[in-house]
Amino acid sequence: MQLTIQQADLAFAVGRALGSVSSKSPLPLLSCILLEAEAGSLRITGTDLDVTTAVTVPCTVATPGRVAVSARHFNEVVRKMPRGPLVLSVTGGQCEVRYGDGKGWSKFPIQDAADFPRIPDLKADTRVSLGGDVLSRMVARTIFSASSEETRPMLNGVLVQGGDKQAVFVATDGHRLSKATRKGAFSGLAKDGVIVPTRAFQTVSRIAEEATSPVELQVAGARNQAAFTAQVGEYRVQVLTRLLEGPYPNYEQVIPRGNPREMRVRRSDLMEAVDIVASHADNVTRQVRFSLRPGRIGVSSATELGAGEHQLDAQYAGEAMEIGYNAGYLMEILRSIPTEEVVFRLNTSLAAGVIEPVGALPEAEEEMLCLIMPLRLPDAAG
Amino acid sequence: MAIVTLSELLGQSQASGFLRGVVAGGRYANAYLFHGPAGVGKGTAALAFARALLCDRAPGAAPPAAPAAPGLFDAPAPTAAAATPADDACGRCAACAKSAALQHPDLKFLFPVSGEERELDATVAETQAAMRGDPLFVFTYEKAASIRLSLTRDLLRELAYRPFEASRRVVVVRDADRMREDQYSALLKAIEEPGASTVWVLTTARLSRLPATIRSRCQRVRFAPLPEKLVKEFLEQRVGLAAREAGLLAALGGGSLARALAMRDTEPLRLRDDALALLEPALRGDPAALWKATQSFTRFGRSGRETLRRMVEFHALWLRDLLRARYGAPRETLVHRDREAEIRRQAAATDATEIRRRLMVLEETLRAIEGNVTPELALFSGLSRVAGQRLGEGEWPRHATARWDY
Repeated sequence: MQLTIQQADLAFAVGRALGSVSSKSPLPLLSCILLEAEAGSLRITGTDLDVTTAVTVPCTVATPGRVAVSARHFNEVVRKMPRGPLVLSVTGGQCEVRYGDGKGWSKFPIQDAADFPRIPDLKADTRVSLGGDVLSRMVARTIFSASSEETRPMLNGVLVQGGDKQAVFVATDGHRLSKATRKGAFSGLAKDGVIVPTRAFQTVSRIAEEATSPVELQVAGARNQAAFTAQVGEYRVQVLTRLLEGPYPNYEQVIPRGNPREMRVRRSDLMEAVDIVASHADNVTRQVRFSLRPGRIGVSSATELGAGEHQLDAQYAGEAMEIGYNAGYLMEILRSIPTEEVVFRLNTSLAAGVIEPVGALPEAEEEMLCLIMPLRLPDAAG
Repeated sequence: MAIVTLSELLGQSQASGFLRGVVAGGRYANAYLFHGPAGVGKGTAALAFARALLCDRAPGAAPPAAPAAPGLFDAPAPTAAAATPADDACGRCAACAKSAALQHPDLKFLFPVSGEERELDATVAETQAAMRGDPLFVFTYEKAASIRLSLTRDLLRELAYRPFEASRRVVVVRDADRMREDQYSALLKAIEEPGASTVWVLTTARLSRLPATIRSRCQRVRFAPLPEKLVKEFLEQRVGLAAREAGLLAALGGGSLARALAMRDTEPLRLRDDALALLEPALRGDPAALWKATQSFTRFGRSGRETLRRMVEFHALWLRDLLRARYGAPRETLVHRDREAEIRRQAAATDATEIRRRLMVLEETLRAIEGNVTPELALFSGLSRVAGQRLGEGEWPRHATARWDY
């Protein structure tokens, strides 16, 4: 195997492929990336068997071939190399990279590429295209609500549903839920959807942000695998992931529709208040108290760490009410909403509340909604 | 334990018929529990069932290759290459090749292992390689062998995902009774979860040791002891043993092919003669000599318990022969037919009740050896009582006299 490649191209591909290489792995080969040279291109693949990233970059191939090298080590050296053409070759059981017109070289031990896990062919029967920015936005608006507990593995991901009218992304961990929709025809995606693991979406959304083409989503016929493919400039990046086993809970059922009390507040004011007050909150529960009064709300917290209260103006016309929230959850929700104002739709101090943006989102075809369960305040009745 | 298909199972026509019906019907329970005596093919059937569930049933281009070595529980090779069966693994598709090598990503195979946790991966890999390489492979466990917690944890993590490439995933847990209480609890939810694309197959030779919560969530499939004749034929044809040795091993196996196989390298005839000779001092009424003789067998070290257990079994078989001879059984039905004259003589001199009493003594000795009684002590006391050395009141330790008073 011998080829000539630009340092920037190689560094990009190695860096992205590294994203799917797990730091500790039972199989030594899984800490490697696979380099495959074919006519005019080099494909670099990293995998932890659950999520796989493959990047194809242009290069001049003299002799094609396949080789596996240690991912971290290779990445560390390659990204420090000077810009310009590199000559990569495999000689004498080692992978050699020459740079700077013969000024320097590095050699890397290689592993037998034949044992590298074969990336399964995706027998895709559905295909959906989403703009890179749309995909990364939808993911950013939901992924923080996904659970990380292992007791309910189907919640460790984001549910992606399609249809003729809209695509829906949903994530929940049982304490909060976030849902983002985009209007359009996404009939390629089934209504009951697929559950994409959080880790896969983290990788995908990073690539979606850089993508210069729409991201194409393919789902295998057996609904066990999905692939996200995008073009980043000259590079073609593909992220393959296994899908989580459902069924996903019926989330529509838990979203309250007729909550009677409505509280509008400036998002930045509320974030500031919660941020300051939460410094005193309990490290585990992160509980802050909301005291709703007509025209204003007070955010307060008191533990042995200290106590604090922050008053801010709000549009609230209902009767006085005390309600507790997890400050961490609340901040994540508020951060994900792009509008200036947000509205809380509340029922009782123990029932689920809905947080929504006020007014249209910057993108007219999109909508979002968050749901959060209150925390029981120590003095709350019933 | 070999890796075969359902149609190649040895014996167990009822169980394999049921399983093939399940495969053909295409409707599966969440979990199956294969139970029955040890070494009759439950584990082999579990893997065969798993292979049938994972098979692509794609008629491959290549005809089925003749197996390099005949398997442990397999029936005679099929005469003609049948059309792709609907109720069994085809043996030709890519999925079948992978499952035969235990490399199918959607076949999870758990079995008890012992040894250091950090060498666990190597131990598991070694055992699987041994299974693949040796069709006569027999699982033997140390007393402390168990299904490891770390393995069940990995399994649960894997269950979160959709199956890798097949439409379903099969989890085979061999000797599922060797788990800790909390592992059962952890698996409960996964086992009963409806709609999950996972089929569980548990096997156990000790049904009562599985918690009722697990048992009640599984459809049970019973496995019977194998007929002696089948085991004998297998030993002759597949292992290449002489007829006499095969007959002895088959009889000693008591319907368990695995047990018969495990004994094949231990010179069973010599061990038998040693064992039967042990009774001599007991019959002479010389406990000191008997004690000395039993002690000479502690040299087996770790496997000593197993050796002593087998020696007791030889005695039991001898008594069984006596009973058969008393009722006029022909020579070929006797296990120890090489010592027929001796058997006929003793049979004529001993009444059936006495033989039964001795058998009960031996049974209790076996139980004692399985438990934590010092094995040579158990053997000593067992043989003493077989020889009729009933000690008078006050001569045995008092606490045990009631149990020995047959």
